[in-house]
Amino acid sequence: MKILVLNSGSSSLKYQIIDTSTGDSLIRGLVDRIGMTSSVIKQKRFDGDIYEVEEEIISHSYAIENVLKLIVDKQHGVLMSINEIDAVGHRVVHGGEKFSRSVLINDKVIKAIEEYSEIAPLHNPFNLRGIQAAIKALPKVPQVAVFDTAFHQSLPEVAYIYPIPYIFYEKYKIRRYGFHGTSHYYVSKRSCEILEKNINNFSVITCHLGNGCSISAVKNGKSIETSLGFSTIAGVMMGTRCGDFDPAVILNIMEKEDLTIEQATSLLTKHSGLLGVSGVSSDMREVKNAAKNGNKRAELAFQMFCYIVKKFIGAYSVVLEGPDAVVFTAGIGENDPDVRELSLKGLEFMGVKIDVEKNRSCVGKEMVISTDDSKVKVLVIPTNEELVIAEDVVKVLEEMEDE
Amino acid sequence: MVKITKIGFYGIRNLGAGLVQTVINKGLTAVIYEKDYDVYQSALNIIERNIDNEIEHWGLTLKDKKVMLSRMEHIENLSDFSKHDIDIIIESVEDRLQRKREVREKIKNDVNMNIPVIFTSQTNSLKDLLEDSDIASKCVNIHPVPSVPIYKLIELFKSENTSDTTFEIVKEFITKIDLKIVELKDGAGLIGPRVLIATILEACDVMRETGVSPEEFDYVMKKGLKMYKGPLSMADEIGLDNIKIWIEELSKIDSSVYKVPEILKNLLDKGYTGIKVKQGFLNYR
Repeated sequence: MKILVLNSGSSSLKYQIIDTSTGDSLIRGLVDRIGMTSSVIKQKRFDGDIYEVEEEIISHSYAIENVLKLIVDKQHGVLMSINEIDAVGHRVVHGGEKFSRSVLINDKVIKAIEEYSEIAPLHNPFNLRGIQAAIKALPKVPQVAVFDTAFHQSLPEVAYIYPIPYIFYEKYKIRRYGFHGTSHYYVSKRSCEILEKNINNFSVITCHLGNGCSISAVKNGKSIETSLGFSTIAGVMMGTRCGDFDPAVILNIMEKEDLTIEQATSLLTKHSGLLGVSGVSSDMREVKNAAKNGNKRAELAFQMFCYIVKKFIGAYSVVLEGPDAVVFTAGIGENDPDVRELSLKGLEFMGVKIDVEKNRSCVGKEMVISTDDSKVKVLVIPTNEELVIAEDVVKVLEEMEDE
Repeated sequence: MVKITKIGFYGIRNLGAGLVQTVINKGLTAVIYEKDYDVYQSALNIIERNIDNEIEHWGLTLKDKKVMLSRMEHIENLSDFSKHDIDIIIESVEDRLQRKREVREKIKNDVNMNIPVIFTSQTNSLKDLLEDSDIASKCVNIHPVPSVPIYKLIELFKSENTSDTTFEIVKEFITKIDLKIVELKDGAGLIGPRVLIATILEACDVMRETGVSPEEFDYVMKKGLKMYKGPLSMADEIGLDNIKIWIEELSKIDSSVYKVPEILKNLLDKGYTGIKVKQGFLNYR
């Protein structure tokens, strides 16, 4: 089947056509600056053909219309007709407690996604715009919602309830939801396949370390703990997001600096993490370069990042009562041997032995980087969230046929 | 959904700078017609200072500032609005009824585009602004609250002749720049401007009678009444010259209430017009 995968943000639309018979991505692209002056579409086809154009794209509907034209474009496209699109898979950030799996989109689903806009105001309304635009452009094509939070709906109560008055969970559904679900699902499943283990007897810690970071504990195919929480700023320190710290600190800073909620939010999401500590960049590569050149704060940011990842690996090893494997994925996880090495340094006591040479040689490819005698295997697995979305769409459609 | 990417500003006085800042912060382009280059420069300084303040308070980044300022375009001829293909025009000239009506006619005759026209009169009703006008169907009035980039609220007024299309486009625009809309029945100075002016007048009385300093007054209002910013600091931000005009215009409602206080007159006599000259009720040097 040919699945159009859409990831719709506030002013952007990422798209990809995936052929699920091979798992190959036929074409991928990004529409940026929707609704602003001079929008841009960048597209790359499987054979390397690159197309870039500036257009006036006033809404997500126009964006989808343009994308559909480009996909069937004689010179730069990949399909003969849009009728070749069998279904559309939408990445939806928040599915709340209602969705523990992907679903066919209907009015009820749209209403629920709308309801969760209240707790995901920066994501769900824009995901919905993409959904509505796609329904309008392809009214006869099935549309499936794949939720970032769904994989973590298996978290036990002890992991998802926060230690604040319970009434806030009852009134506002304030709890840990977790994100990057499709990525954690993909790499946990893939690690099980690579190690030829039985999924029903397999524990793995998955470290999604990119610009956004999260670490999950996955037992027998189910997420039982994850570092992101109610929002996407918890857990591990990230490029510009703070991760976990004493909540009294932000209240204190707000009082001292007379900050509004928006300013405090921006402080925690845009000015913190690697950027906030190093004062150099949110990009790990630039932070490391600065550290090599003697920048002490950049060195501190690098050390802190690895230390925090290590703490989570330690904590989740206990949660899993001994993992079988640790997986690194996403931008930093896949491409940075230094981060992997330092995050796992000294964990031999719990059976983690990294093969330094293998680790050094592994950049952006699937590989086991632990020694042969390591009790806990360490893997690098490039994530593929779009493939998960496409495969989930097929699964949902097949289940519908079965019914 | 209609195209709303370029917003024309006829003038950048009054609360225009705050609106421009809000527009460019949301990825839209502000095309500004302001004949007096000093006024334009002064507004640009206000916008830069506000952005710097947001950076200092962690709300924005230096990169945001660079991108935002690149979205401002200054034009010198009204005919340039159509060349820039603006989608909405906002007047932001001195808040005098007569001046607003002159601008209304200029927009009709010299801009001559079939787009919504947004007035920003804080002290006149839309009915008064549109008297004897045949472009009423395209017009609305708004009251952006002072510090609109922070408060994110706008009072919106339509006349009985405002077309549904105009009203919907304007609402779409305001929502797009992330402002909360409070729809009100047309009236002069409602709600924010009248209450703010009343508070400033009261502040002047209190300071005259008791010798309380502007800093003390604002402190009590902020901490005691939980205002984000003190009313006197707000007045400095709006510009004391503008505040004087607002009071004079509102005196048409009740001349016994709306009188320019001596303290304000004295400050203006010294050229202290507020933040833009670093001295108003409060000192910003």
